[in-house]
Amino acid sequence: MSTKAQRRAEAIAQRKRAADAAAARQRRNRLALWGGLAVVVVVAIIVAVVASGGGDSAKATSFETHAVTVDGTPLPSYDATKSPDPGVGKTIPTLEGVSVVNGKPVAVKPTGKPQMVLFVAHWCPHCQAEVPRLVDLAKQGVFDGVEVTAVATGTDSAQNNYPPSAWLQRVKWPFPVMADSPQFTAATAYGLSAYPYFVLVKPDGTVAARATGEVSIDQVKADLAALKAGTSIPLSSGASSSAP
Amino acid sequence: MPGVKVTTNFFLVLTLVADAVVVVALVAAIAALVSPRARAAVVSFAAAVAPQSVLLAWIVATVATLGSLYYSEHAGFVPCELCWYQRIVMYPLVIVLGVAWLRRDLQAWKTVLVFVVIGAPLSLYHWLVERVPAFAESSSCSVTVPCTTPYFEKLGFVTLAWMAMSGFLLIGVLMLCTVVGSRAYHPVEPADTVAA
Repeated sequence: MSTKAQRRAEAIAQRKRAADAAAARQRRNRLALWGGLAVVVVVAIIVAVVASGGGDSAKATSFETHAVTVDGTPLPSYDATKSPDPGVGKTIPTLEGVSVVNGKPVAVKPTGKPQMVLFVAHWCPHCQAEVPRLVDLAKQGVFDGVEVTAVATGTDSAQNNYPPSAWLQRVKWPFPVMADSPQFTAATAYGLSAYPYFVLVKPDGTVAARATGEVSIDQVKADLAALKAGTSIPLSSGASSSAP
Repeated sequence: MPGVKVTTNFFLVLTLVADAVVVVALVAAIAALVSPRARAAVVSFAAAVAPQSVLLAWIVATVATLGSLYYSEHAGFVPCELCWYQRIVMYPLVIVLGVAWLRRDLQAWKTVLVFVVIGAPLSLYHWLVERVPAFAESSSCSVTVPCTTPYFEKLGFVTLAWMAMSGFLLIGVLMLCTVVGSRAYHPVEPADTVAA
């Protein structure tokens, strides 16, 4: 009897020791986990503060956005699904503003020469893809005889690739760039519906064609050739409507 | 309220840590399939994490939710359509995991993994839409809130969509720890006392 009771007591003691060991192991695990988590959070805070101290990249000018004066009748909003485009044949409104780079006056108005007005947003990846292609075409002389003006619109300092002045200088954009207002006055006056937005203008100041989205090199060449020749423009944008 | 830049760098570090954990878990899982020793190590680690994994997953979901609200309500980053879908999946996890933790419900992984299985691929798709032109339905940017345009991109790949995916995957790994670990973890009961 005593042996049986002894065995029972030993088993209970063994069970208690095992439970204590398991509890101790759990405490150690818990400590290691929460300690590790605390270290991660502290490191994240330190890295965040240190990495944010330097100030990144380019400085914005004082003209990333600026008031734009509009004179004339606004163009209807561009809708690629509508054919023919109701904006074609309408006279472009005159825009008066300043350069995003240096604040010097920039105007878009009928000049007696063919024109291309390009609306770009610094954060738009399609604009970021299209602009260098247009810069290459400019180097090849494709724009010779055409007055080109870009309008930096949709500008938002919270978004990437800000400021637009630094971006366009970095890619060596060779033409004047007008800063649109924070209310996107110029873009609205020209009926912008998506970025990038092309408006081709005849020498008499009427709209020859409009398009949104990326346009291929061959397409741009064909469109400009037709614009210069005064023939029908085969312009078709890489995209019709906007994403989501 | 901290600035957007500091906050983003803070979340960047957390995202990288989450990614590291997910990668290690993946490698360990593969190793466990071929090596009994690795399997034992994985089970042992999961058993150590399991008692805390629901709480840890709740913290991940809560941080992701608060981060999402910070960006939309404080930083002014208007969520796009795909962002909204991810929010719809992530936000309830705060409740689901919170309740599971309070109830010590180790079966909650069954519900949570459903959210993870929906949320992680959704975030991956959004990340691809942002980066791969073939995934975007258009070659233009909407004037409203395009899904194709990330508000920021860190280290060349970390965007809000990537952060969300990392959060979902980390929650998934923690839930798998619950599954593996809770099966392995039992208070030690000497066999000869069972009859007594």
